[in-house]
Amino acid sequence: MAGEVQLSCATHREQVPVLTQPQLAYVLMELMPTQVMANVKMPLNFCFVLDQSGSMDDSDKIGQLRQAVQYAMDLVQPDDIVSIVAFSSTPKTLVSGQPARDKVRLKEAVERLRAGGGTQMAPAMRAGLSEVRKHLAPNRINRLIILTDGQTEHEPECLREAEAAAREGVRVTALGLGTDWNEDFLSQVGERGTGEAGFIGQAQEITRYFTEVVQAMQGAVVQNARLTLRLAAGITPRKVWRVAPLISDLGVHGVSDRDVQVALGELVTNQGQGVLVELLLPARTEGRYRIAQAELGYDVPALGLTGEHARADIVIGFTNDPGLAAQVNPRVMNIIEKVSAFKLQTRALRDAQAGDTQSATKLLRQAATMLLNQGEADLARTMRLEAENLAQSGTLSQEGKKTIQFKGGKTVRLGG
Amino acid sequence: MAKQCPSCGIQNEDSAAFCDNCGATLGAHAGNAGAPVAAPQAAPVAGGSACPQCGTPNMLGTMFCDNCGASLAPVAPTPTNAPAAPVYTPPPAPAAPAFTPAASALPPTPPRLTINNQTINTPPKTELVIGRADLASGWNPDVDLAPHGGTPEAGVSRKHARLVWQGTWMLEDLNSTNGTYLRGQRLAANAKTPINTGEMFQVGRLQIVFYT
Repeated sequence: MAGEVQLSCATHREQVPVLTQPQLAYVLMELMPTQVMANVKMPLNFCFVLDQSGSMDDSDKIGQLRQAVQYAMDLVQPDDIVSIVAFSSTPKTLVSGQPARDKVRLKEAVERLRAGGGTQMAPAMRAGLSEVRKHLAPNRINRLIILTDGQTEHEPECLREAEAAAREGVRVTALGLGTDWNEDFLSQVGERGTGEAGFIGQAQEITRYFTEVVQAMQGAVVQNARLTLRLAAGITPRKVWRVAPLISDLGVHGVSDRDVQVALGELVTNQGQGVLVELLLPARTEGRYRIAQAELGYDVPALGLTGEHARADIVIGFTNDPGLAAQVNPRVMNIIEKVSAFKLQTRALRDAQAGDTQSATKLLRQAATMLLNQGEADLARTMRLEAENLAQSGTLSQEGKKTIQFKGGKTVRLGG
Repeated sequence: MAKQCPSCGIQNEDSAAFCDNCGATLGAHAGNAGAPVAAPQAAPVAGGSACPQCGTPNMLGTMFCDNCGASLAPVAPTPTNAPAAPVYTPPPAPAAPAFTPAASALPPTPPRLTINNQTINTPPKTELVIGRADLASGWNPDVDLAPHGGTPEAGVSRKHARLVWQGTWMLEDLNSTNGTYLRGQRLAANAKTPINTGEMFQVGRLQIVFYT
């Protein structure tokens, strides 16, 4: 079978000018599970690892958390395996790994979340992993979902736990609530756990985040996605970016001069992935050229499919007509601009960290202008405010830094 | 029967639409791909190679400056013979510094020109003719582009353009066959336009970055 994934490719211009020198071309590739996959759900095996330290009592964060976990229990399928570990100074297993058949009983167990005590995350991660391990299966999404609102003790131990989980095939999602947690540390937890980190500004938003996380796990129907670009002679790859769901530099890895390979992991229904490739084109005479062939290999474990493929040609014209060569694909251009803004903000955060306030301020202002141009008004406003903060006080606000770090890469949305 | 690519000569399967090696179109709809280099025509500027805002050299065709993010995309002119496609309007590039003419005899230093990041030295003169040397007639411009790809095929004329110091540097097209381009616009022949440091101009199809 094939047709589980739609692979579409577009270049920033359909036609580029005939020049005597090499020139850059941008190729956007969108990989989206098709309608065939709309009702397929991945079976889950996950553990909520939840902070119930004393600070969770403020503004009824603990109440919002209880509500969010109970709502998540409604989203899971009866055969999904769930477990819940709460932690303060010590971990407590509220629900040990079991199929989510008796939802009433599960929700009752959630009521036992009570705020009080310190923040010791590492033992809780260990307890969560041992629950997930009981039902570890390659055909399930095995995951630890951590939520914390504060600074844990023994950070290095947490990082080791995240690595241990990843080694067993259990990915880690680390969510920070409010502004009192260490964003660099949680990012590391997500990274070492080959998962992700996220920022929840307000307790009222926990339910929405948990819903997104659970739905993304269920929708991760396409696994082990890997993209190969076979380049025509003379074409050089320069950059490969993942642009959605999160902008990141994937680097250029090839098995030969003519092949670029990109491991993409999973493709989530309705979310997919976008990849932007910068290719250096050699001088060519007028005509149409297939500059690369794209091939996506993937598995669909829920349907018992492995080693499936989708293919597409990437074709570009070389023209002497200045009118034709000046036309651009606005969608691809928008994404190129968002990636450019992302590069600026990444450098701004780095410069701010290093104490180069002047450079960071300038970069943030520029990124804000680009994002405003792209209709990303909220993010642009945050960046502009933070640029002023930097200029005046030399530091970023806790909330602004987290917003830029965790939301600045989520500006590209595919589909629709 | 195998299909031979007119561009690179590789044998391809009969059903192939594009050459497996170089990607050129094969078969009846091949267009001009693989044909000998066509007579040079004016080509538009494909994004600058030097950022007008910060002067950082960027790869040709780059859409946003790698350093400062400024838009390098040319404003798309009205399509001539194609169905109207949505046209992306790049954010306005920062305004070039205002041109204020000031009387001055000699510029402080001769301008530096680069092609593909290679510097071409210029003599210390207030008027520099740019073109390609012609052995037959003994013509030798102040800036000879011939060793830098400035061939007739690249659309470079013998007397193509000149840089003139008038308190600031001005660029003038000398009624060349294939035109001189600055900021995405073809310059009117024999009219001087101010050029700023870090700006890229195009002579035929050759792109040159100007630094003072």
